[in-house]
Amino acid sequence: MELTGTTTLLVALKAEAQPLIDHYKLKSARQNPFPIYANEQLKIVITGIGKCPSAAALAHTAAFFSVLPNHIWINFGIAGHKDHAIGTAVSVSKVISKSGQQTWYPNLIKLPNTLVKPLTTYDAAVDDYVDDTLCDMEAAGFMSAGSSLHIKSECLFVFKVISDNKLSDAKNITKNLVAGLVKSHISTLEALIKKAEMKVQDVRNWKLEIGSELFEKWHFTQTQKSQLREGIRRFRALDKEILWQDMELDNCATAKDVIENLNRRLQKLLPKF
Amino acid sequence: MSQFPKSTVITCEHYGEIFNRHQQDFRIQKKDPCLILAEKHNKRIMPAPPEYGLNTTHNYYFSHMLNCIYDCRYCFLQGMFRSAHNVIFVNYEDFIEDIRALAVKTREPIWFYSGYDCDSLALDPITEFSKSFIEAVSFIDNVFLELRTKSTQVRKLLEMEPRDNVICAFSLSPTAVIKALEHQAPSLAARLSAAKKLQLAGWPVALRLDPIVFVENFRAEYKFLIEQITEQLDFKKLHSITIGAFRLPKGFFKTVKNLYPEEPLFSSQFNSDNGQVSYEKSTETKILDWCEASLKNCNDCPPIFRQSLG
Repeated sequence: MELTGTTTLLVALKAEAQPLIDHYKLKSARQNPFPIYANEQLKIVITGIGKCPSAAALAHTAAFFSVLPNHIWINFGIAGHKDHAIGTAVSVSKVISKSGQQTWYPNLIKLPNTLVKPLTTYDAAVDDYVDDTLCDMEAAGFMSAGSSLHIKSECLFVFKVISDNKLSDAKNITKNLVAGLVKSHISTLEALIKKAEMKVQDVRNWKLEIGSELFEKWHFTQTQKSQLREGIRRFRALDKEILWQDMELDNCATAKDVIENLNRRLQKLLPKF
Repeated sequence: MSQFPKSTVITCEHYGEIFNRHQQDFRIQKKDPCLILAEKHNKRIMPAPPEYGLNTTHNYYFSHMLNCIYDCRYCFLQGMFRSAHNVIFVNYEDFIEDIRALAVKTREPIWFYSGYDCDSLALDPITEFSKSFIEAVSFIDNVFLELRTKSTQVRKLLEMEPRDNVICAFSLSPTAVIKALEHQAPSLAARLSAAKKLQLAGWPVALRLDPIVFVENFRAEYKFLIEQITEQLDFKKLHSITIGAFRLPKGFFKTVKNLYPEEPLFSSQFNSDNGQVSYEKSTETKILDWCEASLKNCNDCPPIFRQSLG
């Protein structure tokens, strides 16, 4: 399915997603196995609570939808912390799986009025807030799946808003509280997405386009296609003034002639600084 | 840590958890690398590759840092490391102990090269690498220390008495090459100025024209570089000059080409024999012959060493 876009947010709860769906005017793209809402730039996947659903939702989205190289993946949602005030935004620097004793390091972007903290993912809701880390139930699943799917660590982010602490534990969390917390941090989330996009932008920009007319005119074997691709890459890098398409190829009878013609031209080119 | 009061500190068990993990994007990281402080527990001092020495018998290299704050497009570190983060190993005393232990095993000169996996001096004001190592090992008679750098951070050296057995080796390229390929590195004029200050203070200075890049107007660019060297520095007092044409291990070349497919340098006509990507043998010989001859044409030329694939 074509569902382009540059960023995907994975949230556990519909209550976390709804303010974002409303704000970005996202349309429902599908409901099963995970509800997905999308516009041209952004999609939101509602994963459900827990490590496994979070991991499964990331794997499903990455596998079944066409995503650009360096697509940005953000695990967003609420989390607890013993001391920090409810409503505090936190960029997560380190994710620890309590049960698996594994550790991951998501990419980190510093944002105004946002703390940086490690996070521990538990298998069940906790109310004792032992460590000086955030606690949630999804981030480790998100990071584990991202890592298994060979998503670059630079493209994985975990961003949380404190919803409970020692003074007001998880039992006090309501849909309205969650929606309010998310709403109040939409601008911070936007800043995160913008900065993340900027980081990966120039890596995405370089595309090698080979016109289909070449393949219509001559028959290239797979090896020749690879030689052609490499030749065109080199030509484009070495000669920014002449398009390779402008080369005189009419006299070429076969694909082999095209490649030889290209290589002859390349032999004469040196880097110009 | 006190020098970075505003930094965010993230603790980890071992630097490899971050530095060696899979699925990292060197190019993205290089835009905004982290600083990792770590201890190096083993393999601190390594035998230098055969082509690395200056016709000397006992050659070792060591790296108090991994990666470099500069972003030279030809650098093999881009292909060797998965991460672009900068690692500083803080257990200098262990490195120094290892150097001492190796030095007592022979009475012959024993060379230790720094600047293989990093720039030796680029972060010297923060790391105090030069002061720590020079004060600790330069009094050992048979020890020679080479600090390879593109940096202008020579203040710590200038505060010390010069040592005959500590050589600062400056990597130089023509200005056009620096502008195109040595991103964030000091200008040629700045490097020559730093080298001159050291020479005037009595420190042995060496030059490394490596890698030499075969570009359009190659002769004019490198001729002008040699002129600037001879104008700025006391040529006859230079410890040595090494020259080497651009080359990379095949695997590293493939990695860096994939990282920067638009880079003209990686689109030149190369050979890939014996696991190395380099200019065709005839081109490489032509480049090195011309450079060597041009340097030798200058009065009182110091010893020249060729770094090539053999």
